[in-house]
Amino acid sequence: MKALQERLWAGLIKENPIFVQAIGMCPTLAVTSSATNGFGMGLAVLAVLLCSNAVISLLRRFIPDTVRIPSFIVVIAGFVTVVQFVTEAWTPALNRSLGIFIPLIVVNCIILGRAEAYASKNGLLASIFDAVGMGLGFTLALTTLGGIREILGAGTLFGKVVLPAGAQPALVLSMAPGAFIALGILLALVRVVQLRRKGAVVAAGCGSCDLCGEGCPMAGKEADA
Amino acid sequence: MGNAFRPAWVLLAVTALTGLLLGFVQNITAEPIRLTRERERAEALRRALPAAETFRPLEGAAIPGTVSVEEALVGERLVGLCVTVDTAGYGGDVRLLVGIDNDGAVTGLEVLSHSETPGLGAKAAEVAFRARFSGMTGPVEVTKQEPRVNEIEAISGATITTRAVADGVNRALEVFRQVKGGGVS
Amino acid sequence: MHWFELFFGAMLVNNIVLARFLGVCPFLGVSSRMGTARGMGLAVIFVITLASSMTWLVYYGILEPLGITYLSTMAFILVIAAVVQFVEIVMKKLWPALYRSLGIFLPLITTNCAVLGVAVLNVREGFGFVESLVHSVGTASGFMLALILFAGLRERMAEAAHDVPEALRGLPLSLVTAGLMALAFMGFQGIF
Repeated sequence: MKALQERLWAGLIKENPIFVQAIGMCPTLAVTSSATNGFGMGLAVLAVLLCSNAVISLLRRFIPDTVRIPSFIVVIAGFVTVVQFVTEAWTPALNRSLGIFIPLIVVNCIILGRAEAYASKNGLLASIFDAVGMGLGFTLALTTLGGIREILGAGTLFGKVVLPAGAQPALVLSMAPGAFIALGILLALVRVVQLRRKGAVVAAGCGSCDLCGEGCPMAGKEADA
Repeated sequence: MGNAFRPAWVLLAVTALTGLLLGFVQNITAEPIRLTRERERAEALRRALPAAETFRPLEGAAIPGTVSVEEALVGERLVGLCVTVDTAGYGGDVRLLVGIDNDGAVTGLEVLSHSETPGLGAKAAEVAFRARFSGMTGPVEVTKQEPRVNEIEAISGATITTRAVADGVNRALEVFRQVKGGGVS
Repeated sequence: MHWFELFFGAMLVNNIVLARFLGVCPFLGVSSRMGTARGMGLAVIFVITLASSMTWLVYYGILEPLGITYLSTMAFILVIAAVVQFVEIVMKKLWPALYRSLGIFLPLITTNCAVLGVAVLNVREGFGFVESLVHSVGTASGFMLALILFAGLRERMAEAAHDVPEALRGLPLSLVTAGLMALAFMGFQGIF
């Protein structure tokens, strides 16, 4: 149980995929116009991550290095399609609001990143813990961002009115520009906390491989940064 | 089986297994997906024309610009029509379902899909806006003042969306008159 | 007029990065210098055009006739990975100069969700072959436009980096800047 705690803590706080590693930006920006959508997307990613981490951990000795990435992608694509069927059959409203971003979970850096960095090197149970931690961390980040944008942009939270009647919500936050701005400010706030705690400069990662974290399969091939 | 071929072989096996698994899952979920779609469609039709008991697709009534036309029935008696139309909104197509009774008055309006701006044009999908169309016989006009008969007050900041919805409703009413006049049923 | 609308609608109104939020990672990652932004933009146009025609053919030529469209996500990502590999090999052989400038961006493109996104959108919108080609080139041009504009902004901002509060440096400020760009691009909405 100690290991589970450690992975949960890592996923939720210490190595949070959004707030700390800043990966998986596309769905983070696109589906967080409300807390409900952010939460739904988080759960969808959690489900795919859990299954893919488990299967990849089981197959890790069987898959040769040369076809590692394509095999992982195939496994991930399989589970994404399963999630797509399930949401379409039983949660049609969620399916409509997440739309194209369900099939796009395939190319979410978080999932391939965890497969590469953790599941392909660790045992089944550890990989499952890792998936739960990272998935919950992602869900937490998306729900937070969705909640902030929903309160400020529409005056509601999980669909319930929370702002007093006279308050005029800032519509821009529920639109596309608001997504970028809200996430930018949220990340800056997280960094303020980090800076306070460490009292040191945190390296500002902007290269796409820094974005993808250590698990990025393309690490080292980036020319920019 | 040479070692050189192992990677290709493994990749093929993984792909084939995943494909098989997906086929299996697809088989299980196909029925629930179909049922969900049918139920959603049936619910939308019922909300658009609450007086009807059953709905029957009207074949051969393909009028340009409309997606589908359904006859609303109580038993075998015709009580109205449900017309599904696409209309060009601000952010893309808006798909509407308009219920119309035998007298040619709107009984209900459903927004099936849209990509209008949240907080502005998206208000067109809210009940408060949609309900205002009830009873209109058309042609519906958009106004920025106090609305009179057959007039709809523009959503502030989303005149284009309001106009699009009004156009869609007018088109549905036209389809109704065509079907009635042409004696298709 | 239809083609014009389709092309510019995909490029400006529904800009892939600023309105649809696809390809945000490379947008933030490969935009600190103008030269690399241009290279990445061209590579993306090239790959999206090729990959979306291939995925269209695979979908309507193989998946649909066989009734296995549910495998589309898996098929698309494999096709994209194969196209990227293929482009890399061919480019290396035939146009070594081009390869030297664009080659490094190619592996990054497989995991660029813009490529898969365009392929999925083409199918969802029910586009024909030529329509999806026009839509894809428009979308990819929109990606390049946004990337180059953003790189221009960031080059200017880099000169003033020391004036920026520490917590905002790097990614947070880039995101806010992208937000302001998205606000500007919203002006294109409703022009068609």
